[in-house]
Parts: sequence; structure tokens; C-alpha cells
Amino acid sequence: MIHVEGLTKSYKDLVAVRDLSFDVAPGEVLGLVGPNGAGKTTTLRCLAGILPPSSGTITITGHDLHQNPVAAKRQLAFVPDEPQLFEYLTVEEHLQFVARIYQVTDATSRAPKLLNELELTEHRQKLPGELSRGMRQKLAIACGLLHEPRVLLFDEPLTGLDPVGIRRTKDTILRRAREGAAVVLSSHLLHLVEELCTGVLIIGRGRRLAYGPLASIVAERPELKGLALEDVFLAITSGQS
Amino acid sequence: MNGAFWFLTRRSLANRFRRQLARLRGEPRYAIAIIVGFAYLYFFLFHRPQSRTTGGAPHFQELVSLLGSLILLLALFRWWLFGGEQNALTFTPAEIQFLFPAPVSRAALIRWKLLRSQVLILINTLLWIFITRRARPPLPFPVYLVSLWVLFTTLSLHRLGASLTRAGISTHWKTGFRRQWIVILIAGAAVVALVVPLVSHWPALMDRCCGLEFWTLLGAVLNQLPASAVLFPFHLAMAPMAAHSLSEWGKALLPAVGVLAAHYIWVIRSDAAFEDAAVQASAEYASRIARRKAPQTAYLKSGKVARPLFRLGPTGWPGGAIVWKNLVAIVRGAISPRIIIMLLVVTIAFAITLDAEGHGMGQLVGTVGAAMLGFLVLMGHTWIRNDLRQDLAYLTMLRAYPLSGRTIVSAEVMASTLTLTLFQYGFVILAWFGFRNRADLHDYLNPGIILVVLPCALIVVNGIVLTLQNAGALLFPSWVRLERVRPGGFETIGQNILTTGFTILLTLVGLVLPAAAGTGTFLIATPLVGRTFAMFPAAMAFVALAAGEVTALLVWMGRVFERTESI
Repeated sequence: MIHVEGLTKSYKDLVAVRDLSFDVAPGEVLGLVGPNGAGKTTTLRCLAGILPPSSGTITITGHDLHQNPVAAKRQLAFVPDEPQLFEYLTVEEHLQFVARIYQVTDATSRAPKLLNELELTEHRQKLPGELSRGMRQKLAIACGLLHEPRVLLFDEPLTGLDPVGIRRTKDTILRRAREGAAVVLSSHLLHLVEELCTGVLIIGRGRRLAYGPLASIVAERPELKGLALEDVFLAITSGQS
Repeated sequence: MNGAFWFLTRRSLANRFRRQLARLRGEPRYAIAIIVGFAYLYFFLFHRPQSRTTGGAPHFQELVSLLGSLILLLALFRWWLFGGEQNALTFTPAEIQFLFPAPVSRAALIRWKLLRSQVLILINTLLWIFITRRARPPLPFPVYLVSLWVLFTTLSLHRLGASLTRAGISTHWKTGFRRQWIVILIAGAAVVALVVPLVSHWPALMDRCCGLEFWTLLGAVLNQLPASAVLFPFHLAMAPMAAHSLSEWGKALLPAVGVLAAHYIWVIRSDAAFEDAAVQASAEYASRIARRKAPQTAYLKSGKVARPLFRLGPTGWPGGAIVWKNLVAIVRGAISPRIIIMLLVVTIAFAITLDAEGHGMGQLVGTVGAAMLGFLVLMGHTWIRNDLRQDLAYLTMLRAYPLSGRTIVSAEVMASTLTLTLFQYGFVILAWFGFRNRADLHDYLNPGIILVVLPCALIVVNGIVLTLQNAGALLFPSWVRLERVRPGGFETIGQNILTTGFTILLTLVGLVLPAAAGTGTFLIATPLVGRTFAMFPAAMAFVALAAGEVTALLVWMGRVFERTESI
């Protein structure tokens, strides 16, 4: 579903992501973790087609993101860490806007269900300025899910959510994965990654430090046996931040 | 504690100055913009020749004193009736975090506010001295400096005092009211004392509206008791500025300083519980700053969301979503009401001027319509900005959408082009209405030209202007004011002048070919079909070539957009 080969992204003299390769199959949830400045957001933005890679290829559901960006982007959704909403559109109108962009013909029936799932129904006539940080985050997620993407990219998806919101969002992510979506989520909340993800990609200074299911990462490093992801992360990334 | 406050003021100013200087060193374009902005202000505001004789004329000074007193009075009413807390009681979030929990008395906090306000007062004083340098009485510079400083400081203290009083009343209604009842009583009595004589002389005033006789009568009415008693403190505060000699000034200064001292004592002793009001005012201030940086949200109010012009369906051209979104932004007030008011004021002033010169109403309406149309053709792009200049702040999201760069750029330009053309067309109708009986314009005002030629021509001209403005935003984001990044001062003025100048210049260059084609077609067709009908093929040639240029520009900009990673 997601195939990344030799992804490198440079800004002038700085190499933010260096020769990164990984795959995410349908139903898998890949946790992208790393210290601050490791290149997580840059990687996600490259996957979303926001930043063009300096080299390497990204394939989304068989579409090369560079060669055929529109077809590839139609299959994916990107939810940034800071929700970017149009301050003059209501919650409901955001969904109408996204429906037109992604040509979601049955948006009229999908939107109410989605609003209900993310507890936004009673806020549907409100402007983003009237919503709390958590509600804004949920609206960004709702906009991402409306076209039922086959690839989901989340950058710190639980920031600003209350405990109920966290539970709901986790359920939403897992439900999409169960339905066959490939999910990549970046987070500093390692317990969340441990709970949700089928695999982990640990990066540091733009390089891949470890990749695969947690069990196989630990199996490759006997000294990490029995440790939780947090300890594994600290052991692998020590000296990287 | 005063040491800490002084340190904060000193270091904040120094660091701010250092940051500006570093920016000028790193980016010379900011320096160019500042120079252009300063030159503009100098030549158009300060360098205007003014008569030196007016400044010394006694009747002029009396009029200034009367008008000044009335303006001050209106400001006072506003502060007392509608509150002046927004600025007077505003503390920055950092000040609230560090100073409110600190062991600092309310009086010390108020003194800090007064100290901080002195920076702005001094800048305003110098600015006003510079602006009024040719209209003021021939007194030495320090004399005028002191006079203005006393006036501005008194006003600042009064505003703060009014805010503290209102805060005290709203926080502790009964005790606050008891503590401030004298002030409230005086304010109420002042309103009665001024309104009653004005109401009784209203018909006579209206009969003389609005020439010199009106002001003479108004002065006479307000010079009688009890109104004169109300205005007395304002005359005291204004008197040093109206003095014609040093001895006159010396006599006037002492009472003015007395008014200032009384205000200081009032403010320092008020001891109102202003913390709640200050926190609220600061939150509102932060919100205003945020809205100023993102003006598209400036006039959105909870529960008052206007309906979109039309409902957006899920199918059709995907770029239509962006056009729809940007039109919704306009409907919901992305255009500042202040600009609309300014346009109305300019139009009315223009109309009154023409009326005074004895032109007929039709000529008046037509000229206003044509003038405003011309103004919007030239400057409308600086006003209607619901395009990439607003949306580059959302670059991340725009680039994630499954749309080509050309679609996004075309949709963005289309939204503002449609909006601007619609406004301009309103003035076309106004001009047509005014000039419809003019025989000499009959050939140019037939329905075909008004309904077909002009809208098409306006759309393509606006298309070129706005495409160029959007291209500027994409290629030189630092030079074009993007809605979320709005620096202030000379720099902004300079940037606006430069970008507007370049846009107009490039538009004229872009219109050379279409205009040549249109003129050529007109000249060829006129002998064949007559002047009126020759305009249609001429307009078609003009529109076709201009539209071709816009399309080529949009295709190129689409590619640029696809290569743009960040702004």
C-alpha cells in the first residue's frame, strides 16, 4: 500500500531525511518515532506529497507520488499536528469543501456518521474559532476520513484531546486499519505507539535506526529483551537527539 | 520593584530595536521598503505646503480649542459609556503571568502602566509636533513639546482612570459604585449640561449647517453656563497649545499641570480591583492581534454566520471548492468594514464637492460611479485579497489536496477576480445611471456595451492584475503582504507602494498587445459597422488576447506552485 524506497530530503546543506526505505501493508499501523528533529514530520510531509523528495520514490496504492500526484493523493489523508482549518467555514462546511475536493459523491450520508463518530454533531454549525483545541483536532481528522482514504498519515494525532477524545480517536484509527487502510502515525507518546502500532520505524537524524515489529527489533538486539518500547527507544536513540 | 519595571522597559525597547536592526542588515529589502514608506509619508503627509498665517490667527486658535475640546469630550464619553479598557488596562500575557502573581501592589502595577504608556505618548508627541509644525503658533519647540506632552499624558491618565472606575463597578457593583459615585455623578451631570443647550439650539444650528456661522453659533452656545463649565477643564488642558506668547503659555501651563496632577492622584488612589477586567482586556487584545494577522477571521462573530451564496455540491470541478470557500470568506466579512466605510466617506465627500460646484445630480452620480470604478480598477487588488495572498498560510493543506497546481492557482485567482469585478460592476451601473441622459456619451452607453463589453473587459483586466499579485505572493512572499504576516510601520507602506507600482506597471505592459489588437479592430470595423457596433469585435479581440495571457500565466504559476515547498 505504501512503498518508500531510498527517500532523501535535503534543505540546502541540511539532510533532514536520509535514504529511508519501508513499506506499510493494508491493515498495518506503523509508528514513526524519533527524537525532536529526527525527521518525522518531514518524512510524513513527503509521504503526503507536500514536500517533494530530493531523491527516492514513494508509491501510494501503486501510484508513484512524483509521477502521478493527483491519483496518489486521492488515496491518502494527512492530519497534521496543528490542525489547519479555514476560520470562516463551519464544521459542516469543512466537510462539504473536502467532499468537493475529493469528489465524495455520497458525502451527504457519510458526513453525519463521521460527525457522530467524532462527537462533532452538536458543533456542526460552529466556526473553528469557537471550538476547543481538541475539537479542532477532531475536525481535522473528520476531514481526513471523509473520502475513506486507503492510506492515513497522522502527525501527533492525540495532541490536545481529552481522555474520551483519545479513546475515540484510537478506536477510529484502529477501525480504519481493520477495514484495510495503511496507517502511519508519528508520536512522542510511546505507550500509544506500543498500543496501536503493528510495527515501528525509529529514526534519528534522518536515518533509519530500527524498523519492524517491536518483537523483531528486540530479537535483533538481545540486550533489549524484555524492555518496553520506551526503554528500547531510549537505548536505540541514545546520542541521537 | 521599580528597578525591575525599569529594567523590563529598557531591555524590551533595546531588544526590539536590535531585532529590527538585525533584520535590516540581513534583508536589505526591508530597508528599501522602509525608505520608500518614509519617503511616501514625507512627501504626501508632511511636505504639503500649508499657510503659515493660519497658525497665528486668533480665530483659528479659538476654533482649534473649541473643536479640540469637543473631540476630547467625545473621547471621554466613549471611554465612560463604552469603555476604554481594551487598551488602557491591557497587559501582555507575559506581564500577567509574571506581574499579577508577584508581590506587587495594584498601585505599583498602575505606575508600571503609566511608565510604559510614556513611550507611546512621547512618540505621539513628537509625531504631532512634526505634523503640525506649520500650523502651530510661533513658540519654541520645547514649549510646544511640553504642552502636547501634558495634554496627552492627561488624556492617558483619564482613560486609565475611567477604565479603573468601570472595572471597579463591574467587579464590585455596590462598593465600587459607592467608591466612585462622585465621578459617576459628575459624568452624568456633564452629559445633561451639554445636551440640554444643544437640543434647545438644534434648529438654529441646523439652519446654519455647516459653514463658519455654524461653528460661531456652536461656540457661543457652548460658552454659556452650564456647558462652559463642563468644557472648562478641556479648555484648561488645551490652553497651553493655543498660547501665542511665552507669558500666555506660562499662565496657561500651570492650570493644565494642575489638571494632570489631579488625574494622577485620582488614578493612583482609585485602588479598583482591575485584575479581572485586565485579564479580559488582555485576552481581547491578543484576539485582536491574532485577527489582525488573520483578517479573514476579523469580523466573524459567534452565532452570526452568514449563509454561503450557494451550497457546494460534492461533484463538479474540484477547484470550485476553493472558489466557493473564498467567496464564503468574503460573505462572512473578510473585507474590512473600515474599508467599506472609507470608500463611502470618500464617495460622499467627492459628491458633496461636486455638488458645491453646481453640477447636476446626474452628473454627480455618474462621476462618482466612474471615479470609484477607476479607483477599483487601479487599487481594487489591494482590497480584495481572497486568493493565494490569504491562502498561502494554508500551503501545507493545499499541497496535500489531490489537485494540480494549475487548478489550485486558477481557483484562487478566480475567486478574487469574480469578487472584484462584481464590486466594479456596481459602480459601472451607477455611472451608467448618472450619465444615461448625456448625449455625448450615448454611443458608449448602449446596453450591449454595459451588459457584455464592460463585464468581459473588467474580468480580464482584473484577471491580469490579480494573477500578477498572486504570482508575486508565490515568487516573492516577503514582498507581498500575506494575511497572516502583517508587519507594520513604514516598511508595510513601502512594500505596498512597491508591489502596487510593479503590479500596475506589469499590467500595463501585459495590456499593450490586447489594447493594440482591440484598437486595431475598432479602427478597421468602424467604417464598416459604425462606432457603436465596432466596439464589440474590438472588445472580443481585447478579451481574447488578455484571456490568453492570463491562461499562460496561470499555467506557469501552477508549475511554480507545485515546486513551492514553504513560504
